[in-house]
Parts: sequence; C-alpha cells; structure tokens
Amino acid sequence: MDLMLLTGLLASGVRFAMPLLFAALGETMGQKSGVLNVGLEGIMLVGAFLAVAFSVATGSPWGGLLAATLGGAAMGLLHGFFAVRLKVDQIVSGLALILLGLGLSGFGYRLVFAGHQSIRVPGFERLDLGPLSDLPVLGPLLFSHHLLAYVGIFMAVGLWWILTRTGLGLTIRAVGENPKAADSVGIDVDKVRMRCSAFGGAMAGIGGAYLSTAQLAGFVEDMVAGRGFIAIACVVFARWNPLGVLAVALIFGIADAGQIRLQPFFPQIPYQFFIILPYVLALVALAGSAKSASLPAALAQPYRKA
Amino acid sequence: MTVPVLELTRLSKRYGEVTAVAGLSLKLEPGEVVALLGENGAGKSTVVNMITGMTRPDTGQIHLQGKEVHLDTPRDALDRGIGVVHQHYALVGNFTVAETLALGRAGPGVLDRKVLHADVRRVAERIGMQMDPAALVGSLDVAGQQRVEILKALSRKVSLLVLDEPTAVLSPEDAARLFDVVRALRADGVAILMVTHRLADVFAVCDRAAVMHSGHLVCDLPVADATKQGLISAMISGDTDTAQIPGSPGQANVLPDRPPTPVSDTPIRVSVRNLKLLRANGSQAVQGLGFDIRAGEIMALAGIDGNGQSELVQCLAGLNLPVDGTAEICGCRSDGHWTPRLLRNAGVAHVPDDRRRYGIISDLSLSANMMLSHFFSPRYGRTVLDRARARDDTRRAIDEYDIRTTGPDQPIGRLSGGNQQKLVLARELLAGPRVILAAHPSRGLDIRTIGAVQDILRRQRDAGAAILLVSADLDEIRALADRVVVLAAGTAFGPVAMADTDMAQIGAWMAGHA
Repeated sequence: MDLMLLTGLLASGVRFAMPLLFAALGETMGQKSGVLNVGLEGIMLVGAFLAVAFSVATGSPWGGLLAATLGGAAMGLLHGFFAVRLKVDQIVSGLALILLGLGLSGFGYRLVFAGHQSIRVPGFERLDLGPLSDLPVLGPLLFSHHLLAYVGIFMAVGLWWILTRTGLGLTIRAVGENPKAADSVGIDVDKVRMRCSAFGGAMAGIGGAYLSTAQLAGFVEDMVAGRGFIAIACVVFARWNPLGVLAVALIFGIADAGQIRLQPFFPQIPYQFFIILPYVLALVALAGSAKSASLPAALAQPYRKA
Repeated sequence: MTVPVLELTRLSKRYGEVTAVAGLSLKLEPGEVVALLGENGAGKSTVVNMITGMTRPDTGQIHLQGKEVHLDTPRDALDRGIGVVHQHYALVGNFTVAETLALGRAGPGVLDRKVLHADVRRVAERIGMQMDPAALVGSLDVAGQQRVEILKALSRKVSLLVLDEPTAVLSPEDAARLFDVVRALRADGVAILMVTHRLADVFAVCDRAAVMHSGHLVCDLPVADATKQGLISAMISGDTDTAQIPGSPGQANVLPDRPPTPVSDTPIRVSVRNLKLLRANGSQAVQGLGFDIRAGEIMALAGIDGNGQSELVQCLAGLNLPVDGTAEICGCRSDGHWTPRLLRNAGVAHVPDDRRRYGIISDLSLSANMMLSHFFSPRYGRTVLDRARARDDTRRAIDEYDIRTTGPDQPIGRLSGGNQQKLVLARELLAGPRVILAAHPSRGLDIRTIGAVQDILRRQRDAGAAILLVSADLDEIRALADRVVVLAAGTAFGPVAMADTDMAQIGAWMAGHA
C-alpha cells in the first residue's frame, strides 16, 4: 500500500516536473550566454495556448507542439531583440513578456474558442512499452510516460554534453562569462545570445505545450501559475548545470505531486498552505544558493563594443 | 628586399573636434620589435585600434605583407595574422588554458582535450614557455594570464603581434621573462609592436623606437641611436631635435633620487600589529605583518600584485577586517568601530588600485565624482548637495592637476586613464588628509603624469601626511619612499629604511627570497 502510494507519487512527480524541466533547460542555455529571461511565465502561457489551439486545428498534438515551439522561439527572439540588440534592461523586457503572454494567451483563447462549451483536445498518448510498462513500481515510474518526457530527459543530458564537451558550448559559456573575450577572438556575441534566447523561448513554449496537452488537456487562463518563475529558481538552484536542472525539476515536481496527495490527509488545514509548498521550496532554494561561483559573470549585462 | 609586415601610410583619425592621429606613417619589417611610445592621449591607443580592426581610419592606408587591407572588425585583423595582447586581458576565468586557446578556433563540434592540450604545448614550446594546459586561467597570476594571452594570439598564424602596455603589471623578473618570449618571437620572424610608457622596455628588447606626440609621429629611430633623455623630451614636448643625442644610451635618470630622511619624532599615524588578512576567496593573503607610519613619511609597500597589497589597503581603508592582529589609524582601532566612513572622518584618503571599480563612477560627471569621497563631510552640504561648490572644486582641480577634459560636467568615463587618476588624486587630497593610502597611484600613466603624481605625494609628505605607497615599480619606490616593506609569498619582509637597503635586496624580497 505504501509502495503503491510512493510509486504513484514519484510517477506523477515526473509528470509535474516536465514543464519545469523544458523551461528551465532553455533558460539555462539563455543564462549561460548571459541572457536572463524572467518572462518564461508569459512564453509558457503562449505555448500552452498555441498547443491547444493547433492541436484542435490539426487534430494532432504534434501540430500543437510545433506551433508552441515556434511561438516560444518568436517570443524568445523578441526578448533577444530588446535585451540583446537594443540593450534594454533584461528584467524590464522579461516583465513585458509576462504581460504580453498573459494577454495574448487569454485573448487568443477567447477569440478562438469563444462560445465552445467543451472542446476535446487531442493530447499526447502515454507510451505503451508493453511488458515494461506493466512492471510493478518500475513500470509506472520509468516506462509509462508521454514520449515528450523522455525527450526532456534526453535533452538534459544532451545539453550538458554540449555545454561541457563541444566547441559550441565553449562559445556559449565564453559569451556569458566574458563577452569581450569572445568578441576578441571574432565571435559575434549578439548573434550567439540571440540564438540562445530564441532556443530558451522555444523550450519554454514546449514546457507550456506539455502543460496543456500532456499533463492536462485544455487551456485555462493563467494556467502556468508561477511555473515560469519556479523554472528560473530551478536554474539557479541547479547552478546552471542541465543535469542539475533535471534533478531539481524532479524535486519540484515531486513536491507539487506530494502537496496534492497530502491535502486530503489534513482536511483541517486550508489547502492553500499545501499549494504554496513548491513556491516555498523555490524561495528556500534561492536563498541557499544566492552567491554562487557558477553564476555566469556577464548575466543580464548587455554587451557594448568599446 | 623584404616586404614589410605592416605598413601604415598617412593614417588619420578624428573624433569630433579632436584629432587623435594625424598622418601617421610607420613600417614594421619581419622580426622587428618596434616600441610605440607616447604620453596618455598621444594617440597610441587609436593606432592600435586601427591596426586591430576596432576603429576605422578616416584617411590613409594599411598594407599587410604589401597588400592593402581594410580592417573593419577585430575578426578581419585576426584572419590576416594580426594578434593583440590588450592591456586589460580578455580572458574567461573558469576556462582552462586549453579551452581559452580553443575558443573561436575550434568548430562547434566535440572538443578533443588531448588534441587541445597538445596544441597548447606545441605553441608554448615554440617560444620556450612552460604552461599547464589544464590550469584554470582564473588561478594564474597576472603574469601567467598575460602568457595565456600571448599563447592565445600565437595559436593562430600570426605575422604581427601587438603588445599593449605589456610590462605595466609585471614584476621585474616576469618582465625579463616576457622579454625572452619577445626575443624568441623575433627570432621566429614575427614583427612586434610594443606600446609602452616604460623606457626601460625600449632599451631592453626593442629594435626601433617610434614616439607619438598629440597624434603625430615625432620620431622613429633605431634604439641604438636613441637616448632616454631624448625619448623623454620627444614624448613630453614633441621635440625631435633632442631625441637623438650622441653619447651612451640609457644614462639619463628620469626621476631625481632623493636622500631618504627618516623621521622619528613625529606622531605615529598608522600602526599595524601582527596582521593576518584573507583574500575574498578565503585563502590567506598575508600574516604577521607589522609596521608603523609616522606623520611626514612615505612607507612603500612593495611586491608583486596579489601578495596581499590590495587586502591590506582595503583593510586600512575600512573595507574589510583582519582575521588576526590589529590596525590602528588616528585613534581608530580595527577591533573597535572600523568603517570607511569613520576612517574618512579621521582623515584617511584612499586612492584605490582598481580605479574603475572602486575609484570612480564612469557614467557620472567629474564634479559628481569629486563629491564621492566627501559624501559624509559637510563640505558639500548635509541634505541638499552644494553642486556649485563641487563644480568650483572640480574646476580648480582641472587647472591645478592639468586634467584634459571639456569641463566639470563631462562624464569621467570619457577621460583617459591618466586624467581619471588625476581627478581621483585631486578628490582624495582635497580635504588635507592625515593619512594617504595610495595603491599604484601612477600605474598605466604617462611619464609626465607620473612625475606630477610623485610630486604631489612628496608635497603631501612634506606637509605632514603619513603615506602608504603600494607599488611594484622599483624606480618609483626609490624616488619616493623613506622606508619599505615587501609582501611576498604570504609573509612580510621589513620594514627597513631605504638608506639601509638597496634595490637588489628589495628585488630579492619581491621574488620571495629572504
């Protein structure tokens, strides 16, 4: 019985972790290149909306995913245009993205689905690996998730490998640590940052799509509910390491799944106290890792040529 | 007849009303080391920027290996075999040496550490240099980082290497090692343009000396025919007639030696006992340090950067606390209240070594920067700032210290380093300090400004100030100090009166030999 409970908790923890994982992985790459995007929340909302709208329109969750990815990348580029090209304060530009995403997704949803009572969103099917998925404990834990979840885990490893083992990673890290050094060897700092910002946006878009088409099935206004900010906390807590991001996202996901499961056990405690649990965890995480040597030295600093 | 590696023909560059470089022509042959001399603002940096693709000349041509080139970006210069080692290094602290060399050269794909490490060793061996490819750049000292910069430049095919003020931050020993590298490169056929203030560099390693004065090339002659005195007068006055004086080179003395006059009857202003200081990263910077500074004396704190000098100055300025021992300045003790505000009120002036971080706020005007040290004194008013008075003070400083600026409202970041430094000095000395902490006050400045700065310190000393002078420049220490204490290898040597020691002893201490 306890084992069943634990298995269920961990399995749904993995599901809850995925939107955070995608958004945080993208943000890691952006921050590694020196671009801070606090507007993940807005991008995830747009991603969630686009995924629903285009899943319904095309009849396939993959169409929705593609739209969310492209929409997210466009918003990442927009952030890049302001923060990197125009050297606008990155926080200001990020805050603008949040408001833009909130407005676009809410307005778009009413525009497209006005009057529809209930829409059926074609969601992602869980992967059925036959006998593997039927294994006790390991089955639900490891072999019964959406395909996208495996993509997320694979990407965490892949991005870690790119950052630490390839020339591309070297370039991105140099741009985020000392853009002048990168510039002095002929690297186009702004171009690298624009691309990382676009990649970060695309990943946040995928995170939003996962939320609305894999974890849930449908769009609700403001459904991201702070996950964009928790994703940023994940990046900091994981010290800008994609493998760490995977671990931290899982911790947050499990905390989120846990608070839902705890609610019925303590009916005398108002449920709001359980809902804030992951956010409290995020605050503690940030307080504990405020000063870190892994912080990209040129984070949020626009690069101006001398 | 060899083709010159670099030939500049009548290069000119104007910034608004100011002509930075006027019709400069210069030639560098393969394997030739040319010194480009000049005061701050003479146009040296602009020449370097034009050669390295940072700025475009208004008129004139640049020929590389006989072919005319247009260098629009740093990349253009790199691709054509021009390497630069800037004065302020462009390095990533948490990269290894191998990664630093790979940056911008390796493709986006997988990095093979073995190949990269072999690459570092190959480049280093070419010029007889020792370098651990796996060392983190941030863990190297200033001289080590400079060697990485040189390797970085050499890891590409380089026919011309530009060294911008390479010896400004080096100890005499490290400078000698740098010159060995320069000689190895010369033997390899690389042309070297060495921008410098230090005449010692010219006579140590250069073949030709080119002197700039207010944008013009005023002399260009073989070093064998040049004299120290002649080059100085060419730099200061643009006077070409005296640049070439018959006689043995290097005889003239830049700075008059002053017989040290130890004082023993004036009050002790600074007292340090058994001091132990930590670096920002928690490692021990220095321990067991003890000395007194009396009113009317200059105590030199010699040593190579990174041996605790910054930590000591910051401690005495109230910016950090010792972990052991005590410091006492004008009645304030480090085991009691010890803050910058308190110490400033007690009459401590602080000329920080990292000017851009601790000395000035680049975006603010000269007069706003003037107010910074006097924020808590009633000088500029308690609640509403007396900006008129600040402007007056700034105007007076501009006249008195000969600061080149458009006026007190110009952002200080637009000024050259030397002029910024003069304003910092003017500000710190404004209120008649009783103690002056001067960290590398003349580093990176031109000869005339150095002379002016040293005069200022001498006058303050004679007026009764107690001065701690942090310097790695033996000439400066000899010219100014009454006593000297050397920090090296985590410990302190001295203090000793200048009369009782010699430069060889101080040099040995700086290298860590007792």
